[in-house]
Amino acid sequence: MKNVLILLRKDVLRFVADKPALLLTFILPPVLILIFGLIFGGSGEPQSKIKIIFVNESKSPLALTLEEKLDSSDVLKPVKEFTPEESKVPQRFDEETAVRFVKEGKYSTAIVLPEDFYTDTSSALRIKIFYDPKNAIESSLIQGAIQKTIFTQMSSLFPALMTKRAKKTLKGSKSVSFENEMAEIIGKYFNVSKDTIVKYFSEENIVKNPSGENFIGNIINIESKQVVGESVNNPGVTRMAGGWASMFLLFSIVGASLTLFEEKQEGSLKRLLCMPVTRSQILWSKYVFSTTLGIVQLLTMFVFTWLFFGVDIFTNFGNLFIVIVVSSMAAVSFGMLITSTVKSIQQANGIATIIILIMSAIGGAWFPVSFLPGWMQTVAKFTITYWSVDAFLQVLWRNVAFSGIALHVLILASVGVVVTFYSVIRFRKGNIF
Amino acid sequence: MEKNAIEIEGLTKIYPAGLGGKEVKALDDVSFAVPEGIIFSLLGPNGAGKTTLVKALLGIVHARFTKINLLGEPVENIKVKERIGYLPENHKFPPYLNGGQLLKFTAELHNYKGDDFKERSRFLLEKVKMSKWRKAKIKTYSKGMMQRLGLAQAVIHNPDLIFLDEPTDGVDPIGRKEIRDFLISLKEEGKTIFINSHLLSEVEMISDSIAILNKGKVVYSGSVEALTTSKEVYEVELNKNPDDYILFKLRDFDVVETKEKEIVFKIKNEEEISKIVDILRENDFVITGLNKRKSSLEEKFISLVERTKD
Repeated sequence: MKNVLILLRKDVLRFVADKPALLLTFILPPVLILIFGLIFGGSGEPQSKIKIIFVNESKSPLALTLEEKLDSSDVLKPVKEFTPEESKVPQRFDEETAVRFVKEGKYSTAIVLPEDFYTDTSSALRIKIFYDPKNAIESSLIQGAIQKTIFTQMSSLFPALMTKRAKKTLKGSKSVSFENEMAEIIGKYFNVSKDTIVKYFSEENIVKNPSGENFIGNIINIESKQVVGESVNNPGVTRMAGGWASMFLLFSIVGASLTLFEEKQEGSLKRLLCMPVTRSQILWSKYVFSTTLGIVQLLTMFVFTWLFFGVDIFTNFGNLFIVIVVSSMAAVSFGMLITSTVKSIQQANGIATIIILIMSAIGGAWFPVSFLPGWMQTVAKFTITYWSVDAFLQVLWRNVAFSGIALHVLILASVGVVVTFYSVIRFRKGNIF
Repeated sequence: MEKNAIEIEGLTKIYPAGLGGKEVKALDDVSFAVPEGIIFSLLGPNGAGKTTLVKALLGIVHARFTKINLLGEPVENIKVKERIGYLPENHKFPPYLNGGQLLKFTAELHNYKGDDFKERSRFLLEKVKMSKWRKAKIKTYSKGMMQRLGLAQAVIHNPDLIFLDEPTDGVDPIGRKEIRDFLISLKEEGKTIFINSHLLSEVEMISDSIAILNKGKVVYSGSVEALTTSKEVYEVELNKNPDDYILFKLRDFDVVETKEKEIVFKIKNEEEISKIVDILRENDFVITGLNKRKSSLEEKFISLVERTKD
């Protein structure tokens, strides 16, 4: 044991002297978590809105209503004016300048409500969207936000537009009889007078009461209630913290295990073996050092998410710490397996990088495993990352008791112990010593 | 009774064949002993098996059916390594440590129990002329400085048996002399020193005993003196040049060569020397010197290796 501690001290000195390793272990992960945290979760402040060009060329009151609704959107920030360099006088965007600005990359999207946005003869709204597909996610978000605004805040449009479409298609008396029959049936079942229904279906009502404050407006009543993680401080960062932490853990731990190769190259291993030190003591000191390094690294990353994003790591800290320990053990076993299998440090780096990236991608470190095809979700269960990421999520997001992570802990700890013992056997037979 | 610091019996080491290759017999039934308190050198051409032999002695590689004892203990007994010091060849000590830290690390791992560590560390660094750089990081050391520090770390725990692989490698002539003096002082303290070196002139100067290894076999084991001194060839120095008459008188003896004021004989027994001296005196020659012919270690080494080439 004494020798293991002496060797451990040597590993600590070695690590502290290795500035790039320090940087990769303790500085880079928090910096990347900061960047991604700000993208996905924010710092608790209101999220910044996506700026879009908004041009309203229509004289329809309906266009004005839509403009007002978009102005109050919590996703979009419509920009209606620009200031030309030469005149310095603000000008309103028109379709041509809006398209030019998108083409020049100044904005990603422009929404234009053309003159014929809604006319007396229209049976549909006409909206033009000009976008730069370089950012597909942003474009989808913008289009989704517009649809959401129309569906939720101007829902009266649909029965009125349906009536208009019926009038246009059926024409004349047929359309009148269709409207009356529909109004009668609806009125009968909903106990509302036929005239009231006809009024609701009328064109004036679209403008007067676009949000549909009537029985039609609530015809689809989606009642959504968050039942998990409702008290989570920063959902975005809380969800991603475990994934990123697991990936960086694997990178740093593999790096720490690979120092065995460096020590072989510099003759340290040979010198150690000439001393009263056994191979097992060398390997166990490396194991204890790497596991401790993993624990410290994970703690640092979680403390960082707590400090900068308010992620609650203390309510369920005991279980979080257990997951941190078993995740480190499993990561170290992976590092030792790689080191005991390959023949050179270059080979080890290449293989480890490929495996870590694949494990991170399919194990849920980058995006939820549910995004993957079914067979890949099954494969994911054979990765350390899957169990580690899910255990962190259970602890931080669901705030589960130990029973909720018992299987995760058992699997990660078993991998840690079994793979490490297998690696030690391989080390004895391999060429590292 | 003289004790042996190292005893090897029947050491054979075969490296298994790689894919499609042939197995390599690195050592073939090697046996020899090194008495305590001497400086012993292992010599041999490249590929002779020296590194494998040293690794086997240090317990880094294992060979079956072999007996290796160090300081009276089987090499498998890890405790015996507490009494062994080692300076590897082309060593790269951890660059993040300083000289003092390296000595402490080595002493701790060797379970050095002396309470005079600081004093000993200072003394040894002084001895190898490194005390000025005790706190400097090893990465700033030159090759010569590394070698000096390596020597200090090999003996920091006061070992009884010290293995030195090319101890003067990269050291200037003055440094080499200092290292030689240091090794001699260690021998005087009763330590056994095992040197693995290619510098035959250095080995010749300080070794009491050597072993020459070639193709995995010991081709010579014994003192340097015995190897380099010929028992058969004598050089007789005279006051004047030998003439044909005296050579005629000496026709019954095997004259190897004649030089200016010197005749070299190859004799069959020591009585012949007395007869030669008598004949020379009877013919008015004054004998100014009589020496056994000595070869350099290098000459003997080359001749031995050449002889066992095939």
